[in-house]
Amino acid sequence: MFNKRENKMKCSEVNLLLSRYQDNELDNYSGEMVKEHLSDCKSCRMELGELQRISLGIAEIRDVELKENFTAEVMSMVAQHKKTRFAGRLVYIYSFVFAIFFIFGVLIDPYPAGGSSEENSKMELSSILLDGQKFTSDNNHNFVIIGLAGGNDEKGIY
Amino acid sequence: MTIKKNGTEFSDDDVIRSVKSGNIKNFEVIVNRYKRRIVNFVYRMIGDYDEAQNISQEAFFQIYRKIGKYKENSTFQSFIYTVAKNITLNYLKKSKRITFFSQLSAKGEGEYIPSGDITPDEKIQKVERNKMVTRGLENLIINQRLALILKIYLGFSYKKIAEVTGWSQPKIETLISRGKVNLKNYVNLQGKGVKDV
Ligand SMILES: [Zn+2]
Repeated sequence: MFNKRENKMKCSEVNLLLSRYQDNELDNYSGEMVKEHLSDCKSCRMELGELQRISLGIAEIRDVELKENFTAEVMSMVAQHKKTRFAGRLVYIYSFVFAIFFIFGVLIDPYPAGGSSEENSKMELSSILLDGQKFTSDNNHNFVIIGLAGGNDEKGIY
Repeated sequence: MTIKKNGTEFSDDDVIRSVKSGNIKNFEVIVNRYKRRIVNFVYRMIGDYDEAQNISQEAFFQIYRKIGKYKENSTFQSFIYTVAKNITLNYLKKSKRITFFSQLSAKGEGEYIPSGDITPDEKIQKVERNKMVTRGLENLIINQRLALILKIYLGFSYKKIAEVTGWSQPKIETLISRGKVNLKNYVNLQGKGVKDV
């Protein structure tokens, strides 16, 4: 990058490194080289001075004051979020439980089909007590819908 | 919860661990610790005092929501400034920033007031330069402005800037170096204009 014979950098080379030099982001060797150049080059020193004035200008922009309830408002957003998340979770849990019951009701069939040899006899296979009522089912009908108010007839609800 | 028994402050990670374990109230420590710098970082990016507050509050809320994603081996500061930066850039994209720093003169907020033992002439010069730097910031492309603010206002190293922005080292070097030169040229040009008048 620089003239090795004289081991000195040209102004154009220094110029490219000046911003990083100012930000302390050069490796030790390059940093030393720039420093050395600056010590006897007025124009590069002035260039660095300009960069420093610009940085100072940015650094000196005065901080704005925060509104008084800044933190309280954030914390209420956080609390609100926690609440709705909790409520959301409850809904989730309830629907999960409901789904489990539903799946049990459909898939795990408590009244197997094809009532073997007792086909014609109006035999009660099973009964469920619900709301104090007795629901019965025919041997050939195995699907029971739970929870519907049924009549008292022996056919029950399918 | 800010000071430990032995007088040292709880580290960010101490506080986060406590928040994660359900002590949500302790998130307040994080907000109080960083609010001033976050708001002023956002303010320097967008130049709107009220929006800077809103964006910062939204940023803290997002930080809370994403706290589960924060890993302790990365630095917490990079994490929070990444969140704040993303919301700020989204805002700038949407708003097309019509009134950058217009409030500055209206409200006097963020305006630089020189202190110390200087002559009135120097004072005027300094105030003038500060105004021009602020306006110059407005005229920079957003990435140059962001790079300069992360570097000069927040004092971040290039490495930390890379963590916040995802930019490569050479890209950061270029943005900062060109940003400074552009700002310098802007101030010099305006300065000349002022003198000529
Ligand atoms: Zn030189």
